[in-house]
Amino acid sequence: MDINKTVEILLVEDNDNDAEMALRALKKNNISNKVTRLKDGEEALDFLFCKGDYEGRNIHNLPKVILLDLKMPKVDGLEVLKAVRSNKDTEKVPIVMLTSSREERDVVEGYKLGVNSFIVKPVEFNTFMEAVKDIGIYWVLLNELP
Amino acid sequence: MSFFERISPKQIYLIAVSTLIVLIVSNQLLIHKILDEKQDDATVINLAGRQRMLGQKIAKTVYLAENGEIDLQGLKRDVEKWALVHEGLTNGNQEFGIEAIEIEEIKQLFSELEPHQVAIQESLANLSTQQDVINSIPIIQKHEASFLTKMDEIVDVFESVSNNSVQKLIWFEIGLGLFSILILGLGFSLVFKIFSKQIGVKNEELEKITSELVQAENVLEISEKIGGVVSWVFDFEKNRELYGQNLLDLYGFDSKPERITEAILKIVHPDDLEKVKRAFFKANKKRKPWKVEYRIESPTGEIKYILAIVSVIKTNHEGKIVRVIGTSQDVTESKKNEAELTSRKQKLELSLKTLQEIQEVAKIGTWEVDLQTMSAFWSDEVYRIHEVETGTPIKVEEGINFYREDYREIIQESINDAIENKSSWDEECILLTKTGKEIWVRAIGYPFFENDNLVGLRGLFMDIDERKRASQELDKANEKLQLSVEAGQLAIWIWDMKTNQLEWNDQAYEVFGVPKDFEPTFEKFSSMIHPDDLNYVVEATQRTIETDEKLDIQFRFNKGDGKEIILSGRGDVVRDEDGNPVQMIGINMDVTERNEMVENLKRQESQLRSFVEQAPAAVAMFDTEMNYVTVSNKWYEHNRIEGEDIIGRSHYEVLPQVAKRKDWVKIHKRVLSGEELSNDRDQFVRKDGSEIWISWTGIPWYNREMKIGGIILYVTDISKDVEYTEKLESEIKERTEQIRQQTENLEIVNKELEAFSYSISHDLRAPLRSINGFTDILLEDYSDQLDDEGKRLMGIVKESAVNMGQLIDDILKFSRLGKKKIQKSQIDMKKLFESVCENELKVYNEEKIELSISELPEAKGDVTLLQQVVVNLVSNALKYSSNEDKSIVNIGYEVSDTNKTIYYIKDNGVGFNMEYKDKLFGVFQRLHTKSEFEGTGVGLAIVKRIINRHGGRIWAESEVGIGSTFFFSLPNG
Repeated sequence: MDINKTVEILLVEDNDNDAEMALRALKKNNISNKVTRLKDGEEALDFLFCKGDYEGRNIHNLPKVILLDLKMPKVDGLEVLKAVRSNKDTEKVPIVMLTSSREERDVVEGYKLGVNSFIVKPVEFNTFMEAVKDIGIYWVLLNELP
Repeated sequence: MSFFERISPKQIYLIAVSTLIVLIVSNQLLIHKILDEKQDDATVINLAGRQRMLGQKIAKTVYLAENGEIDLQGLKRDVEKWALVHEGLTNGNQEFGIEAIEIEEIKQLFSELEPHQVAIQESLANLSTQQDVINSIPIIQKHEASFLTKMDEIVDVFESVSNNSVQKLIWFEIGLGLFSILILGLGFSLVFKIFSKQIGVKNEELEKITSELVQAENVLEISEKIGGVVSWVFDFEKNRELYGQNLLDLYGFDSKPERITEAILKIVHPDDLEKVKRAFFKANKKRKPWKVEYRIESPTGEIKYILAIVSVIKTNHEGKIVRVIGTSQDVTESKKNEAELTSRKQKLELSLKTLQEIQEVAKIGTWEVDLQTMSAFWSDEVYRIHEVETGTPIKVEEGINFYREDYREIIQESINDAIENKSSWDEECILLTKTGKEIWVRAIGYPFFENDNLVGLRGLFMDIDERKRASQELDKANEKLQLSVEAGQLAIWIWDMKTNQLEWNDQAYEVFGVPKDFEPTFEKFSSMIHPDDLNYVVEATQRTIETDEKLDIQFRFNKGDGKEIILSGRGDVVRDEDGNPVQMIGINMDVTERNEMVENLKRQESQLRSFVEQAPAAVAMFDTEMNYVTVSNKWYEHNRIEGEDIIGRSHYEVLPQVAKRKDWVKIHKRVLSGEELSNDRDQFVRKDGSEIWISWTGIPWYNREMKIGGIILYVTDISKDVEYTEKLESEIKERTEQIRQQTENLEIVNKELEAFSYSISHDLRAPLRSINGFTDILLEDYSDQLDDEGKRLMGIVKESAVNMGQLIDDILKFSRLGKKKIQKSQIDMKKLFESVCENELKVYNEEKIELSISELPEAKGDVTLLQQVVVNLVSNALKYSSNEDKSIVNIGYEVSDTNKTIYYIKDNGVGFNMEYKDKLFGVFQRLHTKSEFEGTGVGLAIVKRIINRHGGRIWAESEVGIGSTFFFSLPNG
């Protein structure tokens, strides 16, 4: 894998099925170019901070948006969020949190840590597709990094 | 050489001295002569005045005969007396002490008076019937007026003649003085001046004496006229008695006795006889008026009180009284009042003094108003009463204005009435003196006439303020006494020791329990006294009579109604002037109840003492000074007092550490003032220095007078209680801490529950999403390869996934509702592991598994829950070692030093990073992805919770690639 290829959308999702569905949704809306999927929080941190398997990657090569699953083994979404926001190189990257339920405390904690948006992953697939489409259009096509 | 030059200074001196002597002697002689003459004149004037009055009286008696009222005897007596006095006045009379008149002018007047006197006397001489008297009226009328006029003329002339002679003598004296001036010249003018001045003074004195005499005359006349005061003259040398009918009336004599003094002495009360004799016969060299009060007994047995005021006029060379002048007055009425006062000596004395003062003639002021000139005359006493300077001219209306406003009208009306109706008045009024003082006065007035014409008003004026106020106060005091007597059930009695009469008040009948008609005597009273106490009462009474000791006793008494009571008796003896007991006055009170109360209190007090002494606790009884009265044995023990006698000593001295406790000293004082105080917990340092905890109570105790006699302290050593309480308190603290920890644990459990539900809501949804999502993808991408039946079945899958999402939500709600209770029992752990392993081995490939279970101690717990633990741990061990060539699982135990058994399960699986060991037992926490190992992440969380709920602990040790060991501890069965 070319560790230095341009990444526009970084999808961090431990659940393969969810990841596949998300990718499919992005692809369907023609925003699937340069999507990279990472399997958990630990890998996300390695990628973003150029450690482990991603050692030597250019840290300034930042994605336009990170779609971050909240619930992951080892390092969860909120921990990744915290790490990204507390690093000067990465603090400006928009992060959209994916969550199975709109639990109050997660939302509050997320916004505290500087999340840009939340998407509740619904059981109903179509609704999920719609949501991913909206996110992609907004953050990848319209939103430019400052 | 002039006359003065011829005589030497020595001669001048001698002449001066001898002239001086002549002047002094003549002056003294002159004064004495004037006084003598005046005295004689006064006697004559007095008699003349009487004669005039007697004439009037006779005339009045005669006139009254027309109305059928005639006292022939009296009339004859008056006429005889009239004739006698007339004879005396004209020719002198040894008996009356009057010399024959020598002044021509008066002799002439008397001779002119003679025919009228003779005519009247003759016309009345042989009267025998009323008609005779009526027949004599014309003659009487004819002569009466003339007689009276002549008599007045005589008095006037008498006065002017005597004044003239005095004047002449004074002129002679002045002449003598002038002569000595001529002789002694200017050198002696100074000496002369002194004598001249002295003459002036003497002259003034003379005038004053004259005016006083006139006044005295007036007073006498008025006094007798108004009644009550009767005057008389007794000459013991000449055996002459000069008095009027009034005196006979006063003493109740029907006719004139031979010797009135002897007659009076016969009717004087035997007890007073000595007193009277003393007054009359014993010499009084000081010539002061002598006052004596005595009783007389009329033939009817009636007692009258007489107040006599006696002035000695003459004494012989032996100092023996030969002539006295005096007044007598009936004071029975006042005496009655006096009797009322007997019980209160002080008031009585005051009242008596007031009475006597009022009676004293000189203290009564006189006044006169001349209606023609509208001028007023006041005697010195009247001036004194008004507090106006003697001699200040007074106008009639000014006199009235001295009365307080509300009395002016009364006086004015009385005066009007007197002028119009010739009536007299007698009023008690309030006077405003010049200095603004309000005083009570008695104003008596009556009109007087000249030739039947009203010419003025005369009267008496008395200062009765003291008496009035005393009587007002007396009324008040009486009322008060009455009230207190009624309220206190006081029996008041008076025992007359002479008559042996016993009198008592209304309350006495009630106190003594006798009927109202009971007639009290000393004997009857004595018979009711308890026989055993009688001697005591009699002796005490005797002692009171014999000495000055007052009676103050208590004795048993059998009431008239048979009830025995205790009487208190107090009394005192009333003595006469000679100190002889005459009366005994006293009070009795029923004190039975009070005595019982005192007895009760005495008994209570002794009970209290013995209670304190015998008390099985530390009790002490103190007096009001905090001295020990008595203590219990425990008190010594409690305070560590040994071998010390503390009774009678101060609490603060015995226990100095108490004195240092200022708060306690204050508390003792508060208890002594009646408070009851206590403290449930207080620190105390004992005499030996040991510190203890005490509880104490302080209460006042009451003595037989119902007063606080001191305090009682009750002390308990509560050190053990306090220790116990403190222990309890620390236990409670500990328990509280435990509860707090349990609460904390509960909170942790709650958090876990929350995390559980949180995870469920996330992770259980994920597979559902997949089912749903991929079914959609299948329908989307492969719909042309599915027939209608295929599409329908896909729809069912989708729908089921949605339903399951809903079910998860429901289960979540359910799991949050309640917790399962642990039901403990004895568990054979080895058997449990074996059975679980047997089942688990079926799932995995048995051949590549090497399982060993050592001997395990039993445990106490919930079988179902612990089985779940074992299943979980065993399956985990098999699962995570399933990728190895051979799974090696060892099950064993360790004994910890905290009474717990530690069980462990060891595998040779993938292991985990110890960095994440904290997440190992979190709900739905996973250290491996699903693609690596299957699992929900709930297993270890459930295990931890079950172990925790059994009071145990779970932990794990691991090395990545080498294997993991899970430990859990359980309390020993």
